Amino acid sequence: MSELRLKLLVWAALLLLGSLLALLGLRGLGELFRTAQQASTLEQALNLIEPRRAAPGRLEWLPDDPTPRPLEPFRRDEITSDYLLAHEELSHTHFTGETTGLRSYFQSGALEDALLMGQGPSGVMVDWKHRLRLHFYAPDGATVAFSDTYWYAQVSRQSPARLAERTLEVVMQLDDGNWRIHHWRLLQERPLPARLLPVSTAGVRGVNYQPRSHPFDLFGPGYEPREVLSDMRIGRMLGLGTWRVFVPYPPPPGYRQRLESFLSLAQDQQVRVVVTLLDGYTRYRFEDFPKVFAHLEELAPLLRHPAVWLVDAKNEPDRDYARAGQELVIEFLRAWSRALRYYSAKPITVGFIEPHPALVPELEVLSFHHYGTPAQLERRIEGFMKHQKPLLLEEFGFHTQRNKLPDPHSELEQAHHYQQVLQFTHRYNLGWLAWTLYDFDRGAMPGGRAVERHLGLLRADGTPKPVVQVLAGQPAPPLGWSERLGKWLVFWPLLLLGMGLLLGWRLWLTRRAA
Amino acid sequence: MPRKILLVLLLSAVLALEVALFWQQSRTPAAPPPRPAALHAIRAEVSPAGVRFRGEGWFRVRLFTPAGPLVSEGEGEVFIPYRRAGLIPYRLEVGGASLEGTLRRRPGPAVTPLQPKVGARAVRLDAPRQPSLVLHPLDAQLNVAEEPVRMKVFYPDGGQREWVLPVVRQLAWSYFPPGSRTGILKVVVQSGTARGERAEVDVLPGRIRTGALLPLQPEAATSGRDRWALEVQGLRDEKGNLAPDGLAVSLIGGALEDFFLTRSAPQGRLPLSLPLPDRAGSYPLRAWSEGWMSSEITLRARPAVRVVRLPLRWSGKRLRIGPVVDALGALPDDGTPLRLRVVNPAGRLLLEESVPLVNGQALWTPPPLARPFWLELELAGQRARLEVPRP
Repeated sequence: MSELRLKLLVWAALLLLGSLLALLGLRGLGELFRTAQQASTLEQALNLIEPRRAAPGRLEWLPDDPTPRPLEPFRRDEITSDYLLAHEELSHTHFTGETTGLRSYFQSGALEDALLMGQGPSGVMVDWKHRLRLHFYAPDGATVAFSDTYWYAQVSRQSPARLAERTLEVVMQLDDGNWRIHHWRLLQERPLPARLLPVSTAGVRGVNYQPRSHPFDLFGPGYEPREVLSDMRIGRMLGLGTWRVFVPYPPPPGYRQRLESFLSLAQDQQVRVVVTLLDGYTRYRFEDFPKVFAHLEELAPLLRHPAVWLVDAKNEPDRDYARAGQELVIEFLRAWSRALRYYSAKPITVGFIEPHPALVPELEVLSFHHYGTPAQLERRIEGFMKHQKPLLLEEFGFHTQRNKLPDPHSELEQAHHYQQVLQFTHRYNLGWLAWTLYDFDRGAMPGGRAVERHLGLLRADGTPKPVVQVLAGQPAPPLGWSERLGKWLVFWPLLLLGMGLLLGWRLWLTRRAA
Repeated sequence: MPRKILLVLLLSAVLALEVALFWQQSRTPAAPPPRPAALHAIRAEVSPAGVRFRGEGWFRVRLFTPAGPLVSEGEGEVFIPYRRAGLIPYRLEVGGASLEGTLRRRPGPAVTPLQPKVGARAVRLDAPRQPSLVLHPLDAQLNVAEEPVRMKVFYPDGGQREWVLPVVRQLAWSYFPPGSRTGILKVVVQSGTARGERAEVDVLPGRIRTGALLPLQPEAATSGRDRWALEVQGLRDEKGNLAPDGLAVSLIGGALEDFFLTRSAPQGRLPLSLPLPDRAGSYPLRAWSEGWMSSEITLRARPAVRVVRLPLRWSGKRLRIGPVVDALGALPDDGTPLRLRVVNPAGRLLLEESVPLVNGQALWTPPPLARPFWLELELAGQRARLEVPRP
């Protein structure tokens, strides 16, 4: 064998070995990745189930029908436990595709149905508020038949979220010490429809309200009805008949009484209220739905209050796209807005900065926020007109912080800004809510932004800013020379400074090269 | 040089092959996007094997089952193997549009085998709770059929009864009376043409109402060897059925003793052989079972030996008793108990014990008690009393 042939053979063998190792390595990496992903899915599935266990009002037994023998309390506990575990196992299967545990909770036809879930797409399925009524308890104590009416929410990647109440007829049997679902039958299904209510936003003039004494905590312990009443009277004098308020989630203790007091005052003062819910909630997890739903049921009588004009499902959810995922946020809000309409019987909106088209069909009022220029506002309004929905400029404002660099504003500029914005709202016949009634000289601001303190129509001491003239229908006072030159006074010095620095750097480079 | 040419040729060939492959792939026409179906034109159909949707074009179907959503999509036809009876809500989706509807599946006829559940497996004739049957007549798809169930009960006395049970809440059920005769009761169910194995109930006699406690040997000596013989007989229920095997019968020792004994009585009778107590006397006795109580009988225990004389003498510090001889001139059995009672001069009992006789004799050491005291001895009814003086 020649030397050349030997070398070629050695090289070929090395190449083959290298390829083999690379393939094995890739396969190993793939396997590692798959295992890690599986572990992650299982953990997520457990996280899906855990919050449901802590949810209030998870299962309730309604009075029993007459049965051959009374159901003993310990048997009822067993059945309750095994029935809930069966639903948890279904949720687990639906999320992971894993069907191993189903046989512990299902048999016969119910097992056949449950096993089909292992073939379906993975997604989140949550059920809550089970209300069981016992119809039959066998004389031998080994068979029960009951009906169960409960709520559920389902969401998967391929389809819009579904929120429905259903009634199921279930037969469970005691096998080897465990109660299992053998037979079930769907008797009723009531999905919450997006049946919209008639509403108009034309002529709506209002304000986003934060109290001066404790801003961004209206329904906290500092709630003071006299302050609210006084502010409402001032608001009415300014022609602001619609007030937007925020109910935080999780809510502070005693918030319900405070909201009720606020709505009563609003009704007395003929103020219409936009109630914004889930303020501060940013997780958008369907597994939180049982708790969020319980919160809604608690709030429902207040949302039906005559003073409530509009229910805002969430403030600026677009800010949470990056953290929670845009698709999940939209599907959560779809289900949430339907639940809100069901419980409140009021028109629904979502306080988007930029409304999401997928959610527009679910809403009576298309809300948007605008802190840009009036010219941009006009373009945006024209863009939203295609949805053919009542439009609400739910937030707009103009700060009056004189030392805000690089964009200081004066109160006169604010008046001019409002004048231009209100012209557009008038032209396009859309409602508006200003941000906000007062400047704030106390309390913490969102994100620690100082500019939030200077967005009021009134100063922190309650004296009016020039913008009040605009609200009263008068033209804004003319701008002074400082306002006209204000931006240039900032721009030119900065430009000169920048150019000087650049020149100095070039000189330094030239000298160094020399 | 040839090596380099070889390498270049090889690389060129590989490159040419890859380029050809990519070119071929790019030339392959991509599948055209499916034509969307018209939602309102889609027809749904429930078949035994599942739910079928037919339409012109592509669409997606979502069924909302009790177990969760089932999703399938396709062009022209979509089939989902969901077979449960009841309501089947669905949603048809094409692009961003959707249409919701509801189907309803009725269960089919029940199929063989039916699986009746009968409880209890054994039942007393006069038990307050009658036996019952629960049945879920299943169709071929494991749905509970709606057709009524025919239940036939065949009694041990040859009689039979028939019931027609409606299927309500996914089950048919009924109590059935156990009849009046003991034996095996057979239950047969039928739903349409479907049948199941027969179920059986063991019908046992009712509660005991009659019986007798007979003293076969009511008198015996307290020898430790002799026993009373008696028998509980004729245990029957109200209808004259013999008591079931294993029936528990208790013997209660009247008002005189706290005697209590429970035995099981096979075949309605319970022969007993009871040991005697130590003391001679009369002992009343009753038998009891399930509320029935026999009349009282009296058993008598007589002394085992008749002692003519009880010889006693001190041997040092110990008292020697015996040798004792009975009326026949024989020694009493070894182990015959001799009772001793120590009483102080005021008549208060200080000590009581029993000493067994061996070869007609016993030795007793007085306890270290304050003397004098009296010692009372009793053997088979013969008594003696002596003073134990100060040492």
